[in-house]
Amino acid sequence: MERLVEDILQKATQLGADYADIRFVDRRLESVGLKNGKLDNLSSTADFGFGLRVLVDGGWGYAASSESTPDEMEQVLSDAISIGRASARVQRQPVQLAPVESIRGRYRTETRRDPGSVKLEERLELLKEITGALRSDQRIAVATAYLSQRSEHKLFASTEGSFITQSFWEVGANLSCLAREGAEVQRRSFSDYSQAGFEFIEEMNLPEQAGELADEAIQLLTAVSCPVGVTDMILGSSQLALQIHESCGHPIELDRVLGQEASFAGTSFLTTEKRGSFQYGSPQVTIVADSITSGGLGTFGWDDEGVPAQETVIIDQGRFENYLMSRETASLFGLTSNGTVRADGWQNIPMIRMNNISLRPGDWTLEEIIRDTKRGVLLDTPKSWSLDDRRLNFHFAQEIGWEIEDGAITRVLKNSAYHDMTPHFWNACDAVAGKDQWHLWGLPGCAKGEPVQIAHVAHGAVPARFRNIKVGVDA
Amino acid sequence: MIGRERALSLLEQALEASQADQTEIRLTGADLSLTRFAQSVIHQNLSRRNYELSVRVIRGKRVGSAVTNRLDPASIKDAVNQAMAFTTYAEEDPDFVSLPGPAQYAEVDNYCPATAGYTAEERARDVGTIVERADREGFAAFGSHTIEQTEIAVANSLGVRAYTASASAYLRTVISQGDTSGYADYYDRDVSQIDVAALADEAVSRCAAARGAGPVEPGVYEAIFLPYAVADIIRFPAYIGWNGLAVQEGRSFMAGKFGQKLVGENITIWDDGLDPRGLATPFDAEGVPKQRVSIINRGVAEGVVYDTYSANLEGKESTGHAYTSRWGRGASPSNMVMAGGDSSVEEMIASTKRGILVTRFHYTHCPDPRRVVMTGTTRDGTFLIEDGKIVRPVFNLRIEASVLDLLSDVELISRETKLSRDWWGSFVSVLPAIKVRQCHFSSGTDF
Repeated sequence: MERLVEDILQKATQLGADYADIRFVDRRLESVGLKNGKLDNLSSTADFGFGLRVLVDGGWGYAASSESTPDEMEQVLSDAISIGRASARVQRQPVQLAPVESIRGRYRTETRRDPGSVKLEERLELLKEITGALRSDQRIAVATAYLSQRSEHKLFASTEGSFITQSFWEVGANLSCLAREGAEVQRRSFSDYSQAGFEFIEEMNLPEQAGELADEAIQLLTAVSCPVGVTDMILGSSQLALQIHESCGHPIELDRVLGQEASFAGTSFLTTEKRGSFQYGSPQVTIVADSITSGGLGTFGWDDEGVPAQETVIIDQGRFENYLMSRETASLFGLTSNGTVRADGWQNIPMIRMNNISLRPGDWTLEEIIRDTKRGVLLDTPKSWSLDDRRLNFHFAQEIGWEIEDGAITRVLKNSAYHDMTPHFWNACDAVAGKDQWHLWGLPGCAKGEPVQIAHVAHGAVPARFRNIKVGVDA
Repeated sequence: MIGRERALSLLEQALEASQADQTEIRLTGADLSLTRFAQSVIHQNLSRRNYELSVRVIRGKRVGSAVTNRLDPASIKDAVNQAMAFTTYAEEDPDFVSLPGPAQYAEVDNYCPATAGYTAEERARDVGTIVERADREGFAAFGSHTIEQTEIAVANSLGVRAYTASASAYLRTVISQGDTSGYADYYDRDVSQIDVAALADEAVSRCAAARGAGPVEPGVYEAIFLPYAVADIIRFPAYIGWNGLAVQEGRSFMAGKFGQKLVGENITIWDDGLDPRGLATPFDAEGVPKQRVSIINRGVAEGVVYDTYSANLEGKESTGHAYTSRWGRGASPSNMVMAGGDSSVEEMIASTKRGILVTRFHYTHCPDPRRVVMTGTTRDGTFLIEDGKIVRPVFNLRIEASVLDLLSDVELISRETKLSRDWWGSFVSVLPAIKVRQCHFSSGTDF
């Protein structure tokens, strides 16, 4: 394989590429799920191919194929060179890349129980137990539970001499129940994923979680709606993970800041003059990006440009400090890449993606925050999310909420939502729970780019309080 | 492109490898070329080829499936064996009846050689045209130019043999200067139908008109939605409620409402996979011919779409709307059409006392599926109308409104319709512009 790779990269140089890299990706996904006690999905997907990226006359070209015969590789190279030359026709200045050391290295997910060795019977038994717990009440109309596991083997090599192989395991679960009574329909769900072995599934205690979800779904059928108004709001960690994702993770992508996603995913309010000075949040808010936290879906050895895994402080006690960068975007500011470029499989162009973007824990507990709240709401589990194309004005709805009066939870709330402007929201944060309640959530569905690429990312989050936030669905 | 003969031959090879009672094989091939541009330069540019073979096998009433993108004989056999092995773990599903049987397919002209052969050079030339038009006004151009060829072939052990090849072109641009932007796009099977200069001019003139935007109080306004925005309005009822499984499970707002007035009498929406104005295609992912389905007829809830499994649950025939043959996933509308009216955008503006004109939406979502509440922000050209005239551009606004309420309150519908894609790309539909008497905008932005 190494000789094949060297040959194609050498040919790329001979055909005029100033830079080229190649990635082979071999993915296997196995998914099993039950719905209302019946098998809903039992499938495997095998996906293999390679992509070749070249820089020709200062323009990018990318071509990819699921076939890797020598003839097809030559054709793909020829396509990539032609595309690069076409790109160069509409350029203002040639693309430059920030320097990176060439690497020969390997990375592998550490697992305690190899997912490939877990028999299907065992997974089906677990799913039966979970869906049994989800269907504990006849008002549960639909109960689903899915387990998935994905292996990925990736080879990256470049004309700068890097040759890297990486092997990943990801596992995860997704549970959901829909309660119905008359015209009322309410849903509760839970999902989490990790770069880990099957031990991650075992340690989640999913049957117990399923029982709690079903209880809450039934409670929601007779719950009052979340009031519309301004109040203090505590977010549970799964909701805060998505808040971090949408209102911090995406705005700090430097390609968005530079307008490269303007026609689809949008841009960012965090324009370059704000770096190092903008008060993004309160002093309680410190957010880091890393590719090194064990179990994170954004953890790896090297990114898809061969830049090593590292940690970057993004928001330091409320002040905006750094972006997620590629070699190309970093070079525009005389910086080096902080290693956040990934592609979704072999068929897509590598681009800036979140890795593990996490809120550092504070020194409260959720219980202390509730006791300290005179009047407010506690909201958790995302139901819908929407942000403007600069990530300022946002609207999030949740599956469940609880009313807080005089420092205690009084009742369950349905149809909850909140909306705000990003800097106002994060500057309204005055209490962050501590490391004992910190959880690294795996989100395997981050969409960006054209054609859409789905990245697997993670967010460490804890319950936190935000003062004077607009809540309720106002429609 | 591998062509009908080779595609069907691969399917036969897979069928022969199966010992199941019923077997379905689907081959999906895609050759995608896409040029992206930003700040008036091309920054991403790719082509990719992929073929994926999906296997679904049934033993008794036990189902297993597998997918591979390796098409050598050994890999195909492995995929079939994998799916067969899965059936040994599955329990019988009493609701499973059968895969669909053979059918005749309509001739659909959905493969345009000129589109299929469009090169990176030609895409770059088109982008250059847009950049040049933007440059004249001191604006920057952003967008994407997509050429896609697809092949879908379906065969099953009951005799289904279906093949179609198609091509499509989609060009869109955001023209921008500072906080101001304008938008235009065009979708067609035939790339030569895209008037690149006219498309650029539409976006440039919208950007120019949007200069100097200021705030406007959130609240309830009359509202005019261009077809780009209407695409996001019908997105939510379509994916939440207009399929048989959602009705059967009680999730759909259509459940219990058939034959009843659901929205305004001036609203008629149907799905027609053979309508040449849309991205026509002769059959679905199971090889079932596309049927025309009336969804809303003069405001009355009339029907939803089905795949084979969800249709069998009600003793009905599939309408040809399986979006995947993966087990139990239901169906989805695919080629929606909303009937045009007798108005125009100009007449809508002239009839408006005080209202908002929305070009398009960004990042829409549905916080309350039962009432089909949609939220999202406007972008790329939002304007205030007073006394029948556009008086000024305004900062973007967040809509927070029930789609059922909006469609119950439509005052005017344009004669002209346009093939329109929602922001996410869930659906590509033939849609008019509409004017509603009241729309709730719950908050604003500062750009």
